Amino acid sequence: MSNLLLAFLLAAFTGLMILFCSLAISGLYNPLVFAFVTGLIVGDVGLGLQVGAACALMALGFYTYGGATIPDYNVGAMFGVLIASQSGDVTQGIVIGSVIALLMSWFDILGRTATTVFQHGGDRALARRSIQSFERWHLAGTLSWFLGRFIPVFIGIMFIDRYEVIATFVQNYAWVKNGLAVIGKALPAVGFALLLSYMDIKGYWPFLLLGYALFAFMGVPTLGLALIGIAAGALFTGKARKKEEV
Amino acid sequence: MARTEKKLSKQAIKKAAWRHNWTLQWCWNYERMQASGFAYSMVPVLKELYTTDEEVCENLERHMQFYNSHPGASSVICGSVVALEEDYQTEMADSIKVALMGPMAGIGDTVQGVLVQPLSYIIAASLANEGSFLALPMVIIPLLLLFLARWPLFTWGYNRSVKIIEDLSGNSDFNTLREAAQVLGLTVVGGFVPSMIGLKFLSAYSKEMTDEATGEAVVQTVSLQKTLDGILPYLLPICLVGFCYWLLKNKKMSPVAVIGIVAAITFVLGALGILG
Repeated sequence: MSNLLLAFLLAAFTGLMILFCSLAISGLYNPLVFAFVTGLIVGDVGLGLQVGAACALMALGFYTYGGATIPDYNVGAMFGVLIASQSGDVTQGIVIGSVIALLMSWFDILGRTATTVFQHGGDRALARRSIQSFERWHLAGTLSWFLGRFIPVFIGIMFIDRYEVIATFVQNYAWVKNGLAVIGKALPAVGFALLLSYMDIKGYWPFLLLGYALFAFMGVPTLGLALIGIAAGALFTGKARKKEEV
Repeated sequence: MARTEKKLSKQAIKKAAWRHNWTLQWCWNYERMQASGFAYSMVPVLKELYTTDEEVCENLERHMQFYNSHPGASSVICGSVVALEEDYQTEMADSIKVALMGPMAGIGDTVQGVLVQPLSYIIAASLANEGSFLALPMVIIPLLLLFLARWPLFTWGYNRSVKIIEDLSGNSDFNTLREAAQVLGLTVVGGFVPSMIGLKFLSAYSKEMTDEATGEAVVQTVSLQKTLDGILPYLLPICLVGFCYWLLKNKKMSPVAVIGIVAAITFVLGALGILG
């Protein structure tokens, strides 16, 4: 696939994803979906899943409370897969991807600001008493959101060949490679900490301890932890007991 | 405040719900956030209630006031506003938006941001790490269900009209849900911090010891990681998360600043070969 076509397809994909899977179906705009799709394109789905998992963990605690701008680990995951497949080094992809995720937040702010123009267009349409024109202005707001993702992704992929310079540099110096690998392992900690900062640890700390002990000493897998968590939640809130009384 | 007559066609109500659930945030901006989206949702309803464009636009201007809530939980508000508009209780419709957008955002953000989204991300990520394709449905289905719930929420809001306020304030189910979310969330996070952050100490220290049986001097290498594991397994990931939590919560640092600090520290430690 030529670079131009790849850049166009992935940029359009990102633009449509923000409209339908972030603004509409909120939460489907996520790193695993992006990494999986990019993995399909580069022909290595396993790599896609690997990078997607790392980016999903980094994105964990980030949530758009009240329309806050957060790092775009989705676009980050996409570039992560492209770079990892080009350089053959997964952690390089993950680390560079997370830098791109941070840079993308500037374009998010730009897109969110530019939409104001379309809202003012809507105001003027209503002042003119034109319902149809108002409806068009509202739908045109999608342009600002779409382009806010399309433009940076398109440009980024057009220049992705330049990335080789960094890749060669990293390959020549083992210490850089080791440092990047450790960053990749450590960054999910920020996601976990952010999620914990929204939770009530003071009130419910025993469950944090329970989860830790279940994994660290008994090796309970993913789904097991979730099921025990559901059971604990039902017991704790008294839902299970109340049913019996009735 | 009994509903006297049903003026709106089923079609108009359906259109309003569809517009609200898909396009509420398509013109989201810093100035009035979801205002334009809410007004756009009301167009099919207002067109049936008023005869002239003049009247429709006047009423749409009312809906161009600042509005922002959780896009899913906002369905309840939109439903009840449609019912109030149908009864021409315009002032009540405006005030119910202002009164409920905050509380409903709180409910929606907790359900999505603390419960459904992080948990499905965590479980999907661990499946993806094992190379399982189940990661994809694991992350898509829960959020899709949350989206589909917007239609019944809208209908609930429409049927209850202004009584939705009583329903929401007298309802203890949400507190139960919030409690269960904390319990489930913390249990899962407690187990996933050690399982997902694979940081280890690489350094080892050597010590000369005398073999008691033969009396010969032998060099024994002790791995720092093994020593730590003997004290408490996964101590390093826990300390790292604790450090980040402290920076975020006690030092009130922004997440991006914390990312920068963690990246700088771990890069140095990795480059020096201390961590791996």
